[in-house]
Amino acid sequence: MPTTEAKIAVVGAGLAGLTLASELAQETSALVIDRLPMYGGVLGYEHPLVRTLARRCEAVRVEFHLATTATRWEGHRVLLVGPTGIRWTPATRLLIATGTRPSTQAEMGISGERLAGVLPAPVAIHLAEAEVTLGHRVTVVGWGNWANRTLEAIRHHGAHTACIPLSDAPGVADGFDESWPGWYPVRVEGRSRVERLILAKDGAEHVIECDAVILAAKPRPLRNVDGAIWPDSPSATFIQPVAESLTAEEVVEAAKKAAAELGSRAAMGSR
Amino acid sequence: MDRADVLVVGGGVMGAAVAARLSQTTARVLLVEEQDDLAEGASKANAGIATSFYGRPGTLEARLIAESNPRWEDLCGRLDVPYRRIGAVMLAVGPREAAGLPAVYEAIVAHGARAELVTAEQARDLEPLITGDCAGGISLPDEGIIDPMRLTVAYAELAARNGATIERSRRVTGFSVADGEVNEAETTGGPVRVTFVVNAAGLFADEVSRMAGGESFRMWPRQGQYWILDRAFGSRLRRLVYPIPMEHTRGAQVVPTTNGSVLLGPSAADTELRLDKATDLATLRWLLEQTRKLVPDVSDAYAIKTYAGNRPAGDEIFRARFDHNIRNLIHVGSRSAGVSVSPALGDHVLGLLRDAGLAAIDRAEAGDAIPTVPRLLNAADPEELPSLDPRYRHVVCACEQVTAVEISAALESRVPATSIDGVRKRTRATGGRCQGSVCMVGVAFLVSQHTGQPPECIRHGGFGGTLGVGHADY
Ligand SMILES: Cc1cc2nc3c(=O)[nH]c(=O)nc-3n(C[C@H](O)[C@H](O)[C@H](O)COP(=O)(O)OP(=O)(O)OC[C@H]3O[C@@H](n4cnc5c(N)ncnc54)[C@H](O)[C@@H]3O)c2cc1C
Ligand SMILES: Cc1cc2nc3c(=O)[nH]c(=O)nc-3n(C[C@H](O)[C@H](O)[C@H](O)COP(=O)(O)OP(=O)(O)OC[C@H]3O[C@@H](n4cnc5c(N)ncnc54)[C@H](O)[C@@H]3O)c2cc1C
Repeated sequence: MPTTEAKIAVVGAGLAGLTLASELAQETSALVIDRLPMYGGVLGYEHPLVRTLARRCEAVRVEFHLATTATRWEGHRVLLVGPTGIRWTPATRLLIATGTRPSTQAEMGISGERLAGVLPAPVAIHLAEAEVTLGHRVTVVGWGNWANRTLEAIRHHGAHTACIPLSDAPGVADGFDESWPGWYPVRVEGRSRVERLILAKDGAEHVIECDAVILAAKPRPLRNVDGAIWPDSPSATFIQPVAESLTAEEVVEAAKKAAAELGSRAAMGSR
Repeated sequence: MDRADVLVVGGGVMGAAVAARLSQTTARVLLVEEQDDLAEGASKANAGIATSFYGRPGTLEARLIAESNPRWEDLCGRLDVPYRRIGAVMLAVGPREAAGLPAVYEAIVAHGARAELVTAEQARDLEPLITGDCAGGISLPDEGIIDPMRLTVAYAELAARNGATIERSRRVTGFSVADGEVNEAETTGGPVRVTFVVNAAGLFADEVSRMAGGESFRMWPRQGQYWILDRAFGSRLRRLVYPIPMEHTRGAQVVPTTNGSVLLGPSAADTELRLDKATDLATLRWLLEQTRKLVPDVSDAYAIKTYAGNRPAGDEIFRARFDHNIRNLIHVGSRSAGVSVSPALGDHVLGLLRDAGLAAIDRAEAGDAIPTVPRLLNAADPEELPSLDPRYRHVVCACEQVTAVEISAALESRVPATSIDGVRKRTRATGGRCQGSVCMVGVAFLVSQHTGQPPECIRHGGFGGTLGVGHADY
C-alpha cells in the first residue's frame, strides 16, 4: 500500500486506466488499481497497445496495485482490498475506469423469471473458454464487442447460434446461423432452464426456441465503488467509453481527452 | 427407517422457525424440503418487512406478531441476521385520504402497535423524500426490515447445530394414516416414522393436508411483483413509506432493505399458476406510478432487477393449529406475514405439541445462537478484518463487497449453499448492480471447489437448472 500521499487513484488497469495514468503521472503521483492480477482489462496483458501503455506507466513511476479491489470512496480516501491487506488509501481524486458490462435482464426490460441458461456475456465467455457447453441452441442478444467475443468463444462447441442484434445495419451479426434484426426481446420462458425467448416487432411476436440466452447488448458503465456510482459523486470522475461496438483506439482517445481536461483543471488548482 | 418425533414438511421461514425452536428440546426433529435449498418459496420473494401489526386484532396472527416484534434485535443478534427497526411512515396523499387517517390509525392501535398521527411536516421530518402532496400521515416506529433469506437459513442452521436433521431435495409424497393419525410419511428419500407432522408447505399446504387425510382446504398464489433499486438511491431513504392500506392489500410500498437497496412493491394478483414467478411490464409500470405518488424521486433509472413471488393465499389467511381430522397434524402457514410471526411461532407450535402429549423438554445445553461472520460491506473498521481471517483480502463480488470469507462460510455451514443462488441468498454475491456479470464465474469456481461438481453442473436458476448443458471435449 502507498506510503506517500497519492494525488490521484485510477480504478481499472484496462486501456482507459493505463492511458489516464500514463498521461497524468507526468504531473502528479498516480496509483492504478485493478482487481485482476494483470493489467490490460478486456484486451488482456499481451495486447501490444496494453504493453506500450504499461511501459509508459512504469517510466513515470505509476504505482500499481493489482489483484486489488476498490470498494468504497469517501471523497478523499478509497478503500482498497488486496493481497497486502485492507486499507483506506488517501487520494484527492478518484478516476473510475472500470470499463463496461452488458445490460442485465431487468435493464433490457426482458420479463420472466431468473432462469438457468440466461447469462451475461462476460460470464458466458469465461465459461465457454473453460469448455463449458452453454447450450445446444444459443441466442445472443446484441451485436457489438460482447456478442462477437461470445460467438468466438462458442464457435467450436457446435451449437446453433441466433443473434438478436437490435440493429439492422448491414454486416451486423455476421457469422451467426440466424439473425433477427429489428426484433426486440421481451420475455424469457422455461421451467428450470430457458426454453424460449420471445421477440416482438410492431406488435407481432416471434418465439425462438433456445437453451441459452446470452446478454451482450446495451453496454453500461460498470460501477461498483460505493460512493462513486452516480456522476455527481464528490471528487470522482468517470472515464468509461460506452458504445455497442468500440475499438481500442477510440478508448485510448477518450481517455487522453479526459486526461487533458483533468490536467488543465489541476494546473488551475481546482479540484 | 428414519424416525422423527416431529416431521416438519417445508423449509420456508415458518418451517425453519418451528424446527429451530423444537431443536432446543429433547424432541427428535426432521425437516424435509423438496427444493435443493431453503427459502425457495414465498420466503425468498417477500419484502422483508418485520411488521408490528397485520391481520385483524385479536387473531392468533396478530397476537404472534405482537409477541414477535420486541424480540427482533435480540433474535437477529444471536442468529447473525441483518435487522433494523427503521420505522415506517404511512402517507395520506390528498385531502380525501387525510380524512380517512383517523380510522386507519384506530385500526392500527387496536393491535397494540405503536403509532402516532403526524402532520405532513412531521412526516417529512421522518422521511424527507416524501411527496409534496402529503396531507398527513401515521408514524409507525416499530416497523422494521430484515433479510428474510438470511433469517430462514439461520433458523435452519440453528436447528442443525442443535441436532435436528435438515434434508433438502427431499419431498413428502404421501402418508400412511390409521385411526385418525399419521404414523408414517413417504418421501423421495424413504419412509419416516413420525409422532407429529408440521405441515409448513406454504402454497402446497393443501396438497400435504390432502395426502395426510386432513382437512381439504384450498391454496392459491397471490402474486406480488417488485422492483429493486440501487443502494445509491437507498442511501438517501431513511424509512419504510406506506400508502393508506386498501381493504385486501397494503398496497405498493417503498421498502429499504438491510443491504441498502430499495424495493418497490408488491402488487397483488390472485392467479392459478403456482410455479409462475414471471414479471410483466404493465404491473411493473403500475408499481412505479403508485410508489412515485409516495416518493417522487423513485425511478427505474435506479433499477437493478425485478422479481415476483407468490403469497401462499388460502381461504384462511393464517394457520398455526391442529388439523380438525388428523390428531397429530399441525398446519402452519401465512399469506402475508410469515416472516413477522416467525420469532414467536416456534413457541406457539411447541405449546400445541406439548398440550397434545409430546414430551419435548427444553435442553439446557441447546444453543440459541450461530457463529457471526463479519461482513466487509458493513464493517465499520474494515482494515481490521484480515487479522480475523486473511481471506478477507480477496473480494469476489465487488458490487456487494463480498469476500472469500463470507462465501466460504456459506459453503461450509451445517446447511451449506450448494448452488450459485444458494451463495447469493446467504451472502448477496451476484445479487448486485451487475447481477453477477463480473463475479459469477468466481462464485461458480468456489462452489465447484466445495461441491466437487464441474462448473457446467453447478446449479443456477430455479428447479435444478444448471450453468451449462455439458462439457466440450474435442
Ligand atoms: C468483450 C470486449 C472485447 C473487445 N475486444 C476488442 C478487440 O479485440 N479489439 C479492439 O480494438 N477493441 C476491443 N474492444 C473494445 C475496447 O478495446 C475495450 O472496450 C477497451 O479495451 C476497454 O477498456 P477499459 O479500460 O475501458 O475497460 P476494461 O478493459 O474493461 O478495464 C476495466 C478494468 O477495471 C477493473 N475493475 C473493475 N472494477 C474494479 C474495482 N472495483 N476495483 C479494481 N479494479 C476494477 C477490471 O478488472 C478491468 O481490468 C472490446 C470490448 C469488449 C467489451
Ligand atoms: C410478494 C410478497 C411480499 C410479502 N411481504 C412480506 C413481508 O414484508 N413481511 C412478512 O412477514 N411476510 C411477507 N410475505 C409473506 C411471507 O413471505 C410468507 O408468509 C412466508 O414466506 C411463508 O413462509 P412458509 O414457510 O409458510 O412458506 P414457503 O416459504 O413458501 O415455504 C414452503 C416450503 O415448503 C416446500 N414444500 C411444499 N411441498 C412440499 C413437500 N410435499 N415436501 C417437501 N417440501 C415441500 C416448498 O418447496 C417451500 O420451500 C410476503 C409474501 C410475498 C409473496
